[in-house]
Amino acid sequence: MPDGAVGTLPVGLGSPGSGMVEDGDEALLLSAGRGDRRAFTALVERHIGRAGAIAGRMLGIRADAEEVVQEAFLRVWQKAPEWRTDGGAKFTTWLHRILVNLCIDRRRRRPTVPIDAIEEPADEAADGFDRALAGERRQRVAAALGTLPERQRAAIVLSYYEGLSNVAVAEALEVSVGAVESLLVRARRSLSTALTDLKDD
Amino acid sequence: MKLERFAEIIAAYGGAPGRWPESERDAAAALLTASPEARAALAEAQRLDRLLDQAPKPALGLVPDMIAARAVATSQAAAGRRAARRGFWWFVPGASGLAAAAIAGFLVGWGGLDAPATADASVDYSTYVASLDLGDGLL
Repeated sequence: MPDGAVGTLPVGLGSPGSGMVEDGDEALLLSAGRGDRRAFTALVERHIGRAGAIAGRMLGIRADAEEVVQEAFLRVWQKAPEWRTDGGAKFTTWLHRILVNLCIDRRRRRPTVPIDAIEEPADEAADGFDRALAGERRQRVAAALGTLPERQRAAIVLSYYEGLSNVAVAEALEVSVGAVESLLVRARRSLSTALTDLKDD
Repeated sequence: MKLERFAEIIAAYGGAPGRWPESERDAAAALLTASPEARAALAEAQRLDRLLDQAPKPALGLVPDMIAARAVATSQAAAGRRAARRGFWWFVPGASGLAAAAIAGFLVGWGGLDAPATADASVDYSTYVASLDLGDGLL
């Protein structure tokens, strides 16, 4: 997001010498903790896209994902006054941790993931047969992702789909980098087995 | 980098160098140039990547302003409810005592036929009821 999108960014609150974008989140959070709603809204604007993508891929149900994102930002607003900068923690680590935990809780309550709940718009250029084939493959992939254990699914979503570094994924899942790799290896192995008949198409 | 570690990396992160751990990316790329086995392993990982890339993309109807406003409103409503509960019962002097006396009076009256009709018994009854836990949760 461009800097201009967070016009109320109180850059003076960030730690000196570090990048403005990285400082921005924590500074906005500090302002939100003092009741600054514009700072909070800017924080939501900045992170809602990735938050929605994580929740959407974790849950596969649009309404559940939207509720989880709402709940996550409610917690951010409520806990913002307790945020301290001296621990060196990053806002994104905290937000991703909240999201993953809420999604895991939600999935435990409703473990079945409908495979067509979150659907891409149809490709208008493709003919009917290709569109049906592509739709079927998307559903197969979504179904395979939906059967992964929660933490494996979270690791794949954060690492593969959201492109977070292995360190960032480890922090979000509160495990070691080695444990993240183990989750990813197991997840990809399961997916490879589940989709083996599609790999040569 | 040894082939074994390269295999671990692509088994975890897939076939796109951009997803590999940054500290090992250059070494992995160098091995890829030198090793046919590494290239074969990479091709296998890329086949799975192409499938994973076909997963439906989430398309949620999230409006940032609305999400932020709802969070603030929900938080304020919850805080208001807590304040109302605490404010009424904590800041009304003697509210718990009045409630206890009311309950004691009701019980004394309701059990009047069976309870001994003496002043001492009424005091015992009132003392017992007043000793009940009439905490915030009950009130």
